[in-house]
Amino acid sequence: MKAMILAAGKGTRVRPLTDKLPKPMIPIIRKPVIQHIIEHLHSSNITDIIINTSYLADCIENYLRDGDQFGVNIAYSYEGYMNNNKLFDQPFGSAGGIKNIQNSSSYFDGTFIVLCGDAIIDLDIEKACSYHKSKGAIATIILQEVDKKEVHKYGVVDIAKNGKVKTFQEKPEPQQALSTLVNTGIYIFEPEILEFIPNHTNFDIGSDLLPYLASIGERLYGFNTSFQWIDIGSIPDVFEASQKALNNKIKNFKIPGTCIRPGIWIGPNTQINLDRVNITPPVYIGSSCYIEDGVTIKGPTVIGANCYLEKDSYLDKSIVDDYIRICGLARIENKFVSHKDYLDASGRNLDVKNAKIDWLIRDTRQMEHETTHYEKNITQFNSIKKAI
Amino acid sequence: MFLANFENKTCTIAIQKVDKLDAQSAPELRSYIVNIINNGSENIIIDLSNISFMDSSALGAIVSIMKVLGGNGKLILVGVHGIVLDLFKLTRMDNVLNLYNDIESAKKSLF
Repeated sequence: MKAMILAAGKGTRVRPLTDKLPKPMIPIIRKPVIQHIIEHLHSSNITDIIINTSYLADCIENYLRDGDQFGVNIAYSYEGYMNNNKLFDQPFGSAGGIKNIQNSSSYFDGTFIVLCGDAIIDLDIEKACSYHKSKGAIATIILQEVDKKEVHKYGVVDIAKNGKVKTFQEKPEPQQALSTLVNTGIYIFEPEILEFIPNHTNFDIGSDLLPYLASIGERLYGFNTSFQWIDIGSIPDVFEASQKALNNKIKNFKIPGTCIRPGIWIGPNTQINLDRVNITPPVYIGSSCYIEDGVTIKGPTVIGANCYLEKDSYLDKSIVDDYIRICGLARIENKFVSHKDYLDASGRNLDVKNAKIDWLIRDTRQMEHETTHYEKNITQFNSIKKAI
Repeated sequence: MFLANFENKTCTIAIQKVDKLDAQSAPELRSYIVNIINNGSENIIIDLSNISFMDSSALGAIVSIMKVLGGNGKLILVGVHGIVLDLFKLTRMDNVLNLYNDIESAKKSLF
């Protein structure tokens, strides 16, 4: 069976994390979400994978390459064009992307699975396929039961007793919801489905194709199954998934690095004296970091590679990007920290450069004297330190 | 831009027409308040509820006002919220500053 991963979206709900990374590349403890999906497909014996890309396509294509390192064969379908050596993204929508591939190469030659590139899953794909075949479906939506008060976040699917889809509701209020089954963005399709997708039109699976199939009474089924579905669709999701992973609450998630004490993982070439720092698990520290004595790190916290934490710096329940140097004055709680962002789960962002605090949080590769008003700020740092 | 209201030896300062304190407005606020302190006010309450952005120079101005006050009076900040509060917490200045939700409770703490 072949698989298609949808990875062309802009991920606007995860901005500013998606300013420089496409959503499927957002790392959960250093591993991009899309890599989890590929590893799961591999473990389900699915090795032929096509990925449609558009926004920041290079980032995905350069990371996954031909898939050899994951034991799979990956092909890409870029949605856009080049003009004057510049790429212009022009996504076709999820269904339009499938049609585009089929029009150019007839890639889909049997039952295939389509997955969104932004969720960590452990779906039993074989079981889902058996259901799909047993129903003689041309399309099966993988559903998940959610709490009634959560339905407003999802596409709700109402199915008949025999599993046939009756109708859809997009993000309904709980009291209006016809069911608590939601669309997980995972589908099993027969190639016949392509006849229902118009050419050269922006066409979406969830909002165009499936409602159309339901309206004409086509063989569209919903498979309600319980499985791990960790959707990374928003900033709070990124925090939650990282914390779950560190707390061993994501099945099949292997935390990288070496576990040197229960709940403490350290990457290679990192210098830290565990007897001289105040560290509360679970904590992951990436490779080539330098943690000075006297630092406090409270878990769940993830520190990226090549970071430098100065004496007395304090981190609590936070995620730190690669190549970040944190000044000893800093006390960071419940934040995502990068060279430019100082972000909390609600999406509130203190722009590090604009606020001229790059003397507190900066790139480890940046020369000290290049930070904003370095001399002045060191004086300020000393006076704040004296005051506290 | 700044509106001062005097009561006993306490001066409450409202900031109007600007929503950020940066390299331009922070030094102006600093000299405005230093002048008030030099004219005999002992306690300073700054209403920051309109301020939605503050940079490093505003932190510098606040530290400088604290120094001028020395141990003789209190500096109270009111209505600190959003990324301004994040900035105070990040620099641990929330440990040394007197922060209150509103002017009434700030005054109550003084009188």
